[in-house]
Amino acid sequence: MAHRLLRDAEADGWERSDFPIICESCLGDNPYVRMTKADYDKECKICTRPFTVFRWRPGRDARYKKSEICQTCSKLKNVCQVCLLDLEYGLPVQVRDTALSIDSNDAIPKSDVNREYFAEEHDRKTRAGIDYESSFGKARPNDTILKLQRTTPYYKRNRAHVCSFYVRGQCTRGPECPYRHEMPVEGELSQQNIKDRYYGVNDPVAMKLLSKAGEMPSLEPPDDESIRTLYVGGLDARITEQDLRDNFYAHGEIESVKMVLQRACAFVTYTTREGAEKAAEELANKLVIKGLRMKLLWGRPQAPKLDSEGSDEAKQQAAVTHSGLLPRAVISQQQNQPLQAPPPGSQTQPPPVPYFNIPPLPQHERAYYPSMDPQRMGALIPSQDGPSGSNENRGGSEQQHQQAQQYGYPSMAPPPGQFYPPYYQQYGYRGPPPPVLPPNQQHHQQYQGPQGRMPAGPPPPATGTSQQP
Amino acid sequence: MPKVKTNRVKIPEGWELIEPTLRELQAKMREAENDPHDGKRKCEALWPIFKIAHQKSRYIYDLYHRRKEISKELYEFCLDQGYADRNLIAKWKKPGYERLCCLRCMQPRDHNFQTTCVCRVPKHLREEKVIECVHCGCNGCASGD
Repeated sequence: MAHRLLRDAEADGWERSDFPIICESCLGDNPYVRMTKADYDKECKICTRPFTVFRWRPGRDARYKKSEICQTCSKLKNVCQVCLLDLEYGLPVQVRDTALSIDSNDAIPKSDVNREYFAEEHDRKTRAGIDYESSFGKARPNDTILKLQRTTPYYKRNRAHVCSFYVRGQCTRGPECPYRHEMPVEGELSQQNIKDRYYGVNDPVAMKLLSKAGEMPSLEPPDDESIRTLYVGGLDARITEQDLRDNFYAHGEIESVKMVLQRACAFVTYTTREGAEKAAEELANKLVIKGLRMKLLWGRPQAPKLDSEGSDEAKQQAAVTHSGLLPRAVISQQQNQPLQAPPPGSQTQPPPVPYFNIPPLPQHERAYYPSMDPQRMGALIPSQDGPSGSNENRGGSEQQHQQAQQYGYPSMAPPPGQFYPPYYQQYGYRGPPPPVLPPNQQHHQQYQGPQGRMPAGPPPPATGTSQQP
Repeated sequence: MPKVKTNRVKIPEGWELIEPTLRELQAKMREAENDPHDGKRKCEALWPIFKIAHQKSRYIYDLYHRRKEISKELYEFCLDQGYADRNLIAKWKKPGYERLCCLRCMQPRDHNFQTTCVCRVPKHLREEKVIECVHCGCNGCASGD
């Protein structure tokens, strides 16, 4: 008897669902969210068919949100059921469609019975499991999308609505009024229509975004031709050096990648200026790694530090002024030279020509061969130095990690005299030429232990110093 | 016609002492019932009703259980005649519900997610400090505050 149902599972074809299709912003920041489910509670704002309404509070300072359109409509356009923005990018339908050149508007009827019939047919096909053509999964994000997309959830849209009584000066509820007591922001963007937004037609927000995308400034290459380093800001602990390499290798040969976790930034140095320019041009506003948007700027040459054990405040001050000044480096380096971060030793104005205030070190001659520089990638002399060259690179960058003394970018080997001093400063305090010995030692050690890369970094210099002749 | 037995109320002693207050409260209730609804929210219009009902019951509860100034007979008489709410008083006798505002606020069946009204939450555990509960306009009826 139990298998015979009196009603054949809702033959009316109304929509039932278990969980709403919503974006992260609409779901809220609270992992413990209580949601009510009401079957056939309201009609969809687009197709006017009854559907399951979910209602929840997305966070403590949020109003209650409920699903506005049915799941059929939201799947057709791949949008959130509440905010009607794209599920992947958080962009209005019109923006996404113009950027990806999708045009399904002709296929979806917009009026009356046609619309309901289309929705029902679509729903039936989905439930029957028939594969219908959905282009949303296959589309690759293009430039515009990458520039415009939201990478973090935006909770401001979950705030309570503006108290209309307050606007008229008549709110008698006082402090317990749950609506916002602010003046509403008027403007062209306030006249939005849910159907326009859904179909991607005549949407003021979309048009504003599209015009903004067209005008986004591109990264100007700096005047100083020797700068081949890009500053990458907005890093996170999850982003590894390998991620950066993966993103940047396509534009040119990477000489080095230095990550400065304390300032959430990294410096990527190319071997050629053209590579750096190409990378800047391609990635300027579009760099998104692991869901985090990165800020890309040109790097600036660092003033060398006289004191490798500078105080923390001085380091932070140096870093802060650098972060503050880095954008301006784009414009004119000469003007900014006096404003460069002073070395911690001298807190006042740094010398106007910072590169020459350090007397050349005795190691200078010795380390003149590029292959001896652990930072140098690739071989000029083949065979033995080739693999050791790349090993050195890894070891070198890790050594710099450990030391984290400087916030400039690692030295670029070739232009002697300019960037060498800061690099060798670090080793200067550890004694004479550890740069020479560790590569060989790492070479051997890494042959012994395949995973000994990271730990092999610091020990060799330490043992290097002790083993010096 | 056969003789129809009617119930004639036998008023117990002590009634004259409490009668004036009870009449006043009744008049107040009548006023609240006849108030126009202008300028008030739909739920807000009902709040005075709940408030006065609470007041009446409170008066009689105080007289009998706290101050012990009336006899049991008179107390039962008041409850039977409808001057106080028996069920509400029953709740006041329980620990934790001594200041309960109304019976709806503590009924989980009446709320989403089977919770109680926000007015039952003590102020130091709440996030919003100033609230008016939607059922009876209560500001907070937890026993602690």
